[in-house]
Amino acid sequence: MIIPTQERSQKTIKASSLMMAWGLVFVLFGLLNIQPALAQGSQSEKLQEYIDRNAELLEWSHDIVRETENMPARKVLEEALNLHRRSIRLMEDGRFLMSYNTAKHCRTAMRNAVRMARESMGFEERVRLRSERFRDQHAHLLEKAREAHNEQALSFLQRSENMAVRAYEQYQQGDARLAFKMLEQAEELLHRAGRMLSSGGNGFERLERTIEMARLAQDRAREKLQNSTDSAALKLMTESDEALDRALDFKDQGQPERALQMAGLAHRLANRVADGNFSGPSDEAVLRQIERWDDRSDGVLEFIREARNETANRLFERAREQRKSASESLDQDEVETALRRIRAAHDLLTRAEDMVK
Amino acid sequence: MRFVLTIVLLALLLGVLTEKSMLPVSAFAEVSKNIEDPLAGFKGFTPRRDVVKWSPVFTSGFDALLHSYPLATSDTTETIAEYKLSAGIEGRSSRKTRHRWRLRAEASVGSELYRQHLEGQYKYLDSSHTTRFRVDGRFYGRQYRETTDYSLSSNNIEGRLDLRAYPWAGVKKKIEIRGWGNTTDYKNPSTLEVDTRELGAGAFLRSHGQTENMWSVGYRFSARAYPDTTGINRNVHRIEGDLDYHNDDGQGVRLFHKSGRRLISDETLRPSAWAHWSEINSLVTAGDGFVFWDLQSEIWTYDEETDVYFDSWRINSTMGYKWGDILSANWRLGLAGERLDAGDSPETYTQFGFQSGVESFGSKISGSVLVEVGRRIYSQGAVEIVDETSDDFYEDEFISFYSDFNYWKIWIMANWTISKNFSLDLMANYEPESHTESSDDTSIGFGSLRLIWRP
Repeated sequence: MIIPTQERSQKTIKASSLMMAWGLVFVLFGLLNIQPALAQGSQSEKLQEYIDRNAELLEWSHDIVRETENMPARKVLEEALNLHRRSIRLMEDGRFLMSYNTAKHCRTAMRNAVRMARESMGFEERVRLRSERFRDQHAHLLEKAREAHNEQALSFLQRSENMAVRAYEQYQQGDARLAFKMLEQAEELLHRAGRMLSSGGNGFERLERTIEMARLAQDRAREKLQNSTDSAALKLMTESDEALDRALDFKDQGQPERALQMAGLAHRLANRVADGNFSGPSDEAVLRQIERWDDRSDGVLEFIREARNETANRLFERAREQRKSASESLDQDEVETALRRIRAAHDLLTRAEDMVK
Repeated sequence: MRFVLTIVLLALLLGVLTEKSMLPVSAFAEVSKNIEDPLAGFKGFTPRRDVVKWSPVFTSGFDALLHSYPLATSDTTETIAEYKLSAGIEGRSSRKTRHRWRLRAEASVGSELYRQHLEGQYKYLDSSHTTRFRVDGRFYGRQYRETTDYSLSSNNIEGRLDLRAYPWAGVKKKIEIRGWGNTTDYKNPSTLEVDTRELGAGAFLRSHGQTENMWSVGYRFSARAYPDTTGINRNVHRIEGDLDYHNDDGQGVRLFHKSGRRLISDETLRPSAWAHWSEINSLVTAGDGFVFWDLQSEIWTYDEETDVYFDSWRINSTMGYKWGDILSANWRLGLAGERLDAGDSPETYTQFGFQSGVESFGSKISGSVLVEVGRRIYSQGAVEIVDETSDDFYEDEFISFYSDFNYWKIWIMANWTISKNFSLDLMANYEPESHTESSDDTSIGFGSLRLIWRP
């Protein structure tokens, strides 16, 4: 370290004061233990070496940072370069301690710039790798959602597209990390739309549909009950009406799960009336339902073949298995089980029919 | 230019709005007459009209981005907030016709930039309603304001055209041949704002028809050119395949794999590489809910490793349980893990987290909240600096880059249907990292709020 020499004169108060001031500086340096080595003349060379080393590291950092398109890393490296220049100026001005501290900060900034650049490279590659897949999936789901008229899925897809566009803009801005996070969010929205389309609509659509089906079943049952005085049938109809009222109440109260259960009950009760199944299950009632299934199945199968609908075909196969099980259960005198199975067979058949009609 | 484009799009929108009451136009009136609505007459159902349809949409919103990272002596926080007003319109042909088209136009005025977006599609269907030919076109225009906070602000335009043909379509399978081209042009190109041109082609075999079991396999090739930096021009070959199976109970699995070879024109600038990406998403019923398992794997192998291009294998997985009523709320709890294996590179880390969330889709309000908290541990976190002029290491041969950290990931998403025509969208994400070296703390976040009006 270069310490400016002073010509001291014992004859003047001024000189004595200067000496005291310098002495005080040295004492303070020692007391505060702020790089006392820098106060040594030999250490000035070390500061020079440290700064020279920074220059080399800056070159190395620059090579790495320029490889990437990361804007924050470039900004931090620019900051490092400014600090480096400042440390040189301070050294030239003889402000060695400040120069050393500035050089240290320069090194920290370089480290941060290189870290951000290395980190961002991974994100840049990942954004490139994923964006193509995103585009394809988005186009595919959009097509599917439009065909299914699924407004909620379409809304998710619209939001996912907006997010992907914003992610791309952020990528253009050289912030691959933020872009990747945004693309991840866009993918999540895409997956939600996909799940919604796979499950065939959202919950509220399902509830509305079940309520509507219960109403239709009740209309059908009333038609059948015209002028009937059968007390068991009238009782079932009243129960069905009450169940539907309760379903609507639950829906209004924001309890959709219970609403769905009640609407389902109303539907089943009305169906029992329509099917002439007023009391508990009997062999005859189950047999009648099996016969009805057999009658219905031929027509539905024809539709499925015409439509070449794989999903409907699978539902039909499951319905046929249930019908077979119902028959077997009936043979073993398990009437309740047989009834449950044939009802399931009818439900599946209805679903298959809905898909192809 | 920006005003012209914006005004043209707005004029188109206004024109359509004023004419909306007159639609369907006479050319399509005949089609609408013949529509039979199987649901007509049933209470609770609105007969769906199948005619040429135009739907305008207006949005007003606010986006905010936040990125805080360490500088030398302090942290810096970059925030960009943008207010935006946009108007758009989407039109489509009747679904009954064999020549189907769709058009979408959108223009927006933001506090940072102006944007234009045009998108069109044409499809030709044969007598069995199978798509035989399809063209998709897309255009984006962006013009930055002079006062923008963005660092890179060269106005740019982007265009993309996709052509697809289906020369053969069976009952369950079809062949797709694709070709595409895209271009990006900057008004003032710079090192980070480079013009690009890309041409590509591909062939795929895909599942076809209404099926629960969807799959595809294919190959694609693309050639990308950078007119101002030809050294980084590249050709990419890829093979890919996916399978998506879901049954009526909601159980299912989705598998995807893509392997690609990227060949760089001048390998001294960037090394060529192999990339492999796999994804598994599965859902299995268990009790009253589902066990979910998601896994992603990304492998990069470069012909020659450099400081920034290093071989790596990243694998991350989430496994947990989700349950609840689809009509009220779905809950999820899970464990998340991630591992990046980058050999001797300081990037190698292992990460574990705990995830929980809730989502609800109501008719008026729907939304979700997902929170993940965890820790990342770096194996080494430091890098060796070698003096290339000699075989010795420098005196300070190790520079520590990475420090372990605890992290939070918070995602919030909500949608409120205020009325038949108005809705409000909210989306927010915040991910702070708390490092063992507090000077390394970073955080990243963005938020978006939009009021949407569909007249």
